[in-house]
Amino acid sequence: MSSKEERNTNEQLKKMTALAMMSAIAFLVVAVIRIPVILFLKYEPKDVIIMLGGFIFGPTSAFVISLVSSVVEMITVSETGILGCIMNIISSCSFACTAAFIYKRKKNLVSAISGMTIGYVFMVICMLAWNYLITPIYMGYPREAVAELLIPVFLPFNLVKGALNIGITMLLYKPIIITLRRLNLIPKRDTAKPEMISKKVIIGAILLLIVAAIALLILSK
Amino acid sequence: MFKNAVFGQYYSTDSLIHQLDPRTKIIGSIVLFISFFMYNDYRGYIFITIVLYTVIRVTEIPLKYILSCVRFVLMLIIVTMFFNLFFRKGEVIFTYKYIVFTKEGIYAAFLSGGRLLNLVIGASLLTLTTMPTGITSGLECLFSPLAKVGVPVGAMAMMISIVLRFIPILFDEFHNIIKAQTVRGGDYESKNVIKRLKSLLPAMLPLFVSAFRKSNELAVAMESKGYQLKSMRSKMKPLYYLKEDYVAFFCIVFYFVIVICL
Amino acid sequence: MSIKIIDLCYRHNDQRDFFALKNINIRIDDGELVGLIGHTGSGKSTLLDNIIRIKKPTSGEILINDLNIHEKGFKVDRLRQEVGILFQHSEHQLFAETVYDDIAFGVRNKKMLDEKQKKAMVYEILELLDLDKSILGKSPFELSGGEMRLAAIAGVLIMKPKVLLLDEPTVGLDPAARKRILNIILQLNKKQNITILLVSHNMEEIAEVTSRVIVMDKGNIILNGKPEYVFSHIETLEKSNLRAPQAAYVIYLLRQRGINVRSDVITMSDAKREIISTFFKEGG
Repeated sequence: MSSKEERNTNEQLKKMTALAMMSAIAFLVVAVIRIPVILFLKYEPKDVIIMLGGFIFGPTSAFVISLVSSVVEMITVSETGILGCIMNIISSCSFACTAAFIYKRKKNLVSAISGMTIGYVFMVICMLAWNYLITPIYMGYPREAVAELLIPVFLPFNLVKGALNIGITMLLYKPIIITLRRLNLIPKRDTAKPEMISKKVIIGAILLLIVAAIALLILSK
Repeated sequence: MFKNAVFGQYYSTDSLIHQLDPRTKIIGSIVLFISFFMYNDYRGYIFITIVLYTVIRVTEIPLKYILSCVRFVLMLIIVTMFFNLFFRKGEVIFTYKYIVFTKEGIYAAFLSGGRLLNLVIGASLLTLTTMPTGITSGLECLFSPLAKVGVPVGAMAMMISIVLRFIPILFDEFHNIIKAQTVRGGDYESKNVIKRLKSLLPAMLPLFVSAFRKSNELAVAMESKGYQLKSMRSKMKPLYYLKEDYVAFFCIVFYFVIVICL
Repeated sequence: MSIKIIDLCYRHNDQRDFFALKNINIRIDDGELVGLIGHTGSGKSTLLDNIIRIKKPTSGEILINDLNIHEKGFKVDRLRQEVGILFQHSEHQLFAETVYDDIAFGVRNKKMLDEKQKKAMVYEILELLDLDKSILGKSPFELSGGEMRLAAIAGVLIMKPKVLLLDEPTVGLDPAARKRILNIILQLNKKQNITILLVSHNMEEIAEVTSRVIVMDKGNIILNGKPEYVFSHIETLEKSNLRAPQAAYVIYLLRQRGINVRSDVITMSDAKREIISTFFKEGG
């Protein structure tokens, strides 16, 4: 192997273990920090971790962290099975991947905040849609009842969750990244190419999800 | 302390089901899951419940333990029953002030509550009978054809293994960091959310530093042992089917067919 | 500041039969420098956690200055300020932007102190530890391993504790740094009269500085007395996966061969003196 390829493998391997570590931290954070907000809905700062990963490594990496940590949750303490896992991934990714994507274009404070805000709005929409469309099928109760709950309960919960996520990320991002850079623990520029998962695959996965959701909707009628 | 929960709900017994190949159990789990959405009346419900509890008996896991694992979702179940009870329109049985109880409501409440309970227990069956490392192996095998389309299945499976391996370590370390900051005045117990948030950085930053140090060391260690991201890796415990698995597959297919017919 | 531990038993929440600490009775008087040794898993760290009220005893009492720390009305903040603890690898707790911020973290909430007073306190600690002021502006992560540990120690000392619990403060350091920290520990005990409980796996260290040694084994205390007394029980120590200081072994082996050296010698310098004087007495 040429030395350039060697360096590449090394960088890719470092990235893989780093993302794995972040997934472990994300899992950890869910287990340790839980703050009840409304009813049975609790806040955990997992999205903050995924967000940080997205800012440091990019939007695909945020997706990877989200996927890996949700799968680990599913295979160890799954309470809600695969649907819960998917909901987790959608919730985290709608927020983190959008924000990381916008931040990637221009790496400054303004784009970070605007990215997170857009991601925040997107996440709330996705969550409301999910809770309206999919959850009733899962739980077996009528849509009208959920609609009643949607505005007073689900909306405020997701609003609070998103706000907390943005706040905590802003608190933590700068000190953490400065320290990590200083200690040479993360690459100064993202030199690991090619990306771990190609864009085609991600688009394919999203399409698949949409198809599956539609199938589920039809099945339940 | 947390080490028990990390390895999830796995409950070790010598039952037939525990010995099945993880792939069989994963597929069985998926089939079970899909079947939950395929019935709408009480006949299907009774059949599935019977099958479910038979399987539970075969696994030899005490019901008490299973129920203790799902107690967190109990709240959800109660909410569901609540909804069906009070929000279904239909033939009114009796009213109490402004609350209306309908026949459909009561019927639907029990049906959906029971179904949700079955769903959650069914979902837990996989994690109760298979160790996380086994599930990872099974998933890796099942998804391996996707590698041809560019999905990095091997790398993902490796990452999941790394996560499983490092969670107890990071957990202990996190615990120690929080202890150290607590005695210096960090506040992790107070009801005041602001105070808790202020104490977040002293807890998270050292955790990140330590975690990234470990990840870098791990990368170097893996590389020095010749780990290649894209190569085919052999396993210490390769998965292979036994005749019990073929029997199980037959049962699964049989079950699915019946559900479709009902 | 005295610590009295009476019939302390501790069991983890999720274990029904296994007691990490069984009937621990310890008394540490004001101004003592006590060593705590024991194999891994013997319960040393759990004991420390109980003393600083991070874990609650299953039964038994802990009295600090004769006040029960679990009684209603006991002020935990006072406990945190008066009993300082340095955990293993204390440099892992550093997080602030500058060394100054990290050291001052313990007193940042004290409203009675203004910035000038806080600064003075930090300078005082630096002098005590023989550290240069230039360290204050640096990031904690720019420091060497030994310096980071000293910074962590400073962060605990700034709260002016009357008791210090040190969990392996010299582990992982080079000999020079180890010596430095040991000297600091001695100074804190002798000059500032801080009561110290020193947990260590380094027997030579324990022999060097402590006036009493407590030995733990599987949650029990098996020996408690002067270092000379404890380290003469070599067989008991070895059965618990421990050892005596090297000097004690030399003396032990010499005595086995019939050479009449005093048996209560445990440090290298004392051993050297004793061997030479015996050698000359016996007529060379």
